[in-house]
Amino acid sequence: MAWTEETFKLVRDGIDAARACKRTELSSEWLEKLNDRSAKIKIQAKKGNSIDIIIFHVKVPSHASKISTPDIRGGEQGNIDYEGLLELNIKIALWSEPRGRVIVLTDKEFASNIKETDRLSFVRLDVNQTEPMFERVVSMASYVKSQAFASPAVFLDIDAFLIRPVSGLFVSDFDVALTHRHIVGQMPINEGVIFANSINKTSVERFFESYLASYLAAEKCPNVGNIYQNIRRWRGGQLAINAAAGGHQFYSTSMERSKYGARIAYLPCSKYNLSQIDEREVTKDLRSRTCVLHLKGNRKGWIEKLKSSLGDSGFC
Amino acid sequence: MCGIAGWAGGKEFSGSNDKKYNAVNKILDSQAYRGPDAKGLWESESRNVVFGHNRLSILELSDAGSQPMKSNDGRWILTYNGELYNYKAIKKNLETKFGVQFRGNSDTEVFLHGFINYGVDEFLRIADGMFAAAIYDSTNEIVFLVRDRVGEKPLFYSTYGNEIFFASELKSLACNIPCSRKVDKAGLQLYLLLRYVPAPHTILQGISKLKPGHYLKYKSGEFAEQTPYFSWDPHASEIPANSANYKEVVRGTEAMLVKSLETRLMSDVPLGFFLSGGVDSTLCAALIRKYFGKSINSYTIGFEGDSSSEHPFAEKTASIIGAQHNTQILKQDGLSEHSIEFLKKLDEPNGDRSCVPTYILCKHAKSEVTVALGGDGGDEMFSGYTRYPGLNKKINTSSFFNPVEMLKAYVSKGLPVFGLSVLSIFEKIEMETNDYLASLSTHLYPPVDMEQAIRFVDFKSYLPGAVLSKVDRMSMQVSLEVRTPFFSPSLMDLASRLPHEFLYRGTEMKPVLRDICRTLGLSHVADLPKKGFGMPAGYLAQNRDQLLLRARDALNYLNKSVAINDNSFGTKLSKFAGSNMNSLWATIVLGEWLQNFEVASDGMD
Repeated sequence: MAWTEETFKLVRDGIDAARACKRTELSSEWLEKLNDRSAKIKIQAKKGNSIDIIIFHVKVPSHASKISTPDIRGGEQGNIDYEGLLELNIKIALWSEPRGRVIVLTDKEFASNIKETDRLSFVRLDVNQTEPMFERVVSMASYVKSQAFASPAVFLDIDAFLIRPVSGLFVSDFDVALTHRHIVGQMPINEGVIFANSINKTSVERFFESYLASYLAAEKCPNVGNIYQNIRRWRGGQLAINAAAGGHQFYSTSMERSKYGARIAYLPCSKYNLSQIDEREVTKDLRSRTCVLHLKGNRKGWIEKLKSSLGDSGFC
Repeated sequence: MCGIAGWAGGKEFSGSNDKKYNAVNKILDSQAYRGPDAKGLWESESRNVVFGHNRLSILELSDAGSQPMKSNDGRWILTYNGELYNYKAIKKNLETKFGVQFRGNSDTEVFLHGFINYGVDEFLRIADGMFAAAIYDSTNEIVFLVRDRVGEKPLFYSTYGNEIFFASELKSLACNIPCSRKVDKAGLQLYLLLRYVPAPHTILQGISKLKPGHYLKYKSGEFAEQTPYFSWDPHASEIPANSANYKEVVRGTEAMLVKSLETRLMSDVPLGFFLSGGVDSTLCAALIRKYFGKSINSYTIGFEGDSSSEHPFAEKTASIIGAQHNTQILKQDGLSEHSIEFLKKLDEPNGDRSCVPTYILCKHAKSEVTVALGGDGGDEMFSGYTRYPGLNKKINTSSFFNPVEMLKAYVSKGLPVFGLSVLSIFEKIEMETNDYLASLSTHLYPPVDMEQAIRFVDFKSYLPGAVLSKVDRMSMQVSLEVRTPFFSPSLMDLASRLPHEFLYRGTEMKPVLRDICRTLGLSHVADLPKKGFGMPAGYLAQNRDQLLLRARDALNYLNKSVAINDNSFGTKLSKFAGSNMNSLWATIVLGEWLQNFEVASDGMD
């Protein structure tokens, strides 16, 4: 789609609207729901794992798969081979993090052909497949409350590829690390990559509760509704994470202490969630400067280029 | 260039509003050297907001540029210190898109209407300038404080209860508002580690600095949070390192510098430039001559008896480019007189050894011009500091426990002052001290190329904390405006994309800037290793006895200081004060600054 001044403004207005939806407390009703879901995440916490890589994805029914928001038009989820994408994502992640494991949070049917191993687990949840973005936040917030969350975790979009180890990042003393970018017309915080440290679990839980609480506030907000419809389906997660982070139009690479005590690091997308590059930059050298390549939208067409570039570093 | 000050509070304060008005008035008086041409005060009808302004007239010398400036409808008030370099382009847009009718030709008026029509985030995104400003929205009763991207212009504030005071300078604020006037422990710890106090901290309790690239929205009774609008970070799309791209970067850098200079040369008063023997100022001076054909004055400083003094190189450059050059030589016995004078005027402790020569240089230039251009920023943006090469080996990332430890190693090895162990003189390390270091260390999260990443750390902390605060305070003492061509947004964007190979060429640093110098026939500078603009160690060594005496007096004073309130602080610090010339100088600066401050603030309300 062509970016116009109008679309830039819409995104800015969206962030402004989201800012008003920032919440830090979740209702007892929702806390209970999270506890219920977290009890269903029965993955054992494994000692000695360097990192857990969490990917959430559900199969969206065809009637709900079209994405049409002011900032993303003409997106058709149904045309993408997500199972193939997931397989590749898992393979690359386990190659990058030889001591890590992948946990897929999903519905009852998605990717049923992929077999679990000692380094790959599927958690199949009762989720509303027409509300993928909302279910994702609920699932992440449940995950950090679950017994499984005992090692550092990175939450990845299905099309965000971990091309370089990130476990070294967790020696830093952040609780949650978010990735930010300075691109006019795009939300500054991207929820496609989120790092959660396991040193101070309560602070991490509080952040994800804030994330969900902000989501619930945003869906009731008329200003948000004027721009985005049905944010439980698309875009709501982005709005909510931007709200939870403070609702700023820009972020500075830094670490801030939230009012509820969590230490939130803001890291540049260029290093930890890279998408704004030219296809020609997808070479072997890319691994020297970025950990996660996020092939959003049409960039999924670069898959072969990605495989080939990683092949030069030993991936097969 | 100017000074600003103000107060805002809830309506319940109206009973004591005379005091607030007087306080702002006194703040303006005590920072009057920032703007000696005029003083302006504005008070809201409900008397719950007071804005003040010291004016140094640079553009639009008529009353149309007077401040505080009110919008046509009376809703908005602005008090503003700085320059908006792209004001002509913004003005045109405001006229065409929003139908704004301007009363005059000042950048102040464009700043005000830009803020009103674009909104805070969007306006700051498009503004190319150096500024600190306060804007009051009387309809919503909100005060906005804003500061430029890099931190060229200062802005201090203090909130308590439902009130906020702000000013351009720390001492003028602290001496005229109700505050504790005690030393802030985190600020002091950071000073001892860094030799400057980085934003948001200050050396005094209860007073904060607005961080560069941030704004603050204040509404009575609400929490005032600093909000970022700019951060110089590694760009997503790094330029692939090959010779074709390198040539393109050299060409682009020159073009962007020229464009930046064009806007920074706008002035209705005489203008000159600082010329050291270094690459950055030489390059700017040569480009001015080449592209604008202007014959402007250049100023440099030399040190008597010091063989490494750069002034002969500056003189050679001036003769090549045809500048009207002026050299001021700092005599061996001149340090005492100049530095005592300088420390009396220093706004906040800054142990950067180049403060004294900068002050003398500004004083010298002010005798002929009102605006001067400098070359700051080039070392951070294009990797010019001699402490950078070899960091990947010196701070081997795999041997460090975490990024904070790496940062501490850089601070103690790259910019040694008292050393990390100086923190042992405190009962505990303050949470704010740790938080600041942890925040800065995010640039060093793995995987990290230290030689590449460290410039982002310095850009965020050292540049505004030590370098730019020095330039602003020293130049403002003599009512001189200093502009920095390297901080154009497009040039900063380009510099953030440079790969390691474009920052280091063997042992040569800043090859991009050096190569442009070479094409301009200035190899005598381009081929020189970097020296730095500080007082040379050799020069300081000549004055060693005198410095030791002053350090001893400073340590004695630190034991007595009411603001520190620890009668053995000086004694404890004495174990570290003589570690090196930086720590010796930083001790003198801290002790003499506190003494001057406590004398100045004695008896204040």
